[in-house]
Amino acid sequence: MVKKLKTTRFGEIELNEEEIIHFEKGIPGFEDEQKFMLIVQEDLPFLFLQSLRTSDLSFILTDPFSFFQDYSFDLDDQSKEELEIQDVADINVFGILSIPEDFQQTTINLLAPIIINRQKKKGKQLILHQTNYRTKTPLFPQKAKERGE
Amino acid sequence: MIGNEIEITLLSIDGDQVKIGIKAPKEVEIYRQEIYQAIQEENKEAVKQAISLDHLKNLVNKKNI
Repeated sequence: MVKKLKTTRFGEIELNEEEIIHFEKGIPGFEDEQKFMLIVQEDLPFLFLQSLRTSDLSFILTDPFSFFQDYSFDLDDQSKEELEIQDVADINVFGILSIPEDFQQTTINLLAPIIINRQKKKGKQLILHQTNYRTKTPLFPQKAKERGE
Repeated sequence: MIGNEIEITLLSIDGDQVKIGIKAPKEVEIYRQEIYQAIQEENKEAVKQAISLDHLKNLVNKKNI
């Protein structure tokens, strides 16, 4: 069934029921937001996690591995169970971006990646344990270096 | 004990370092409060900038990433 969804960033868009991704526990800071959809823009290296409930709530995401080739973490058994992951090939990993006025200073949250099981349409923001990854990693490290950070 | 499933043990005190053990069923996720708060704040900050789609496309084009 196709529904219309009002969004601030994309205007009115079409939503197929099967596109809905369920975040059972919400997202930290947005614990009541449990339904989202992924919006892909072909000419952008980013995608958007749009809330179904709140038209102006959409996270900007990107594939962390294309910016940080050696990014890695262990997916704990509890998360696998929670998201009903049978095959890790079914999951997508995204980092939430924080884009300030100066785009060069964009940061990515590598400490708490978004994990989505495409098969079961379930997602969560995983908080990594025992890791040096941070919430505010410069997406363009070269630029940060030039600024002396 | 918290309820009848969560057990908290003082493991050691060494100077100003205190180690605490928490035993809980595996569906209970345990985080240090400051970590969870940091993620909450980061998420709120991430969506605060209501950057438009066109603006974003412009920025990306300029940067050629």
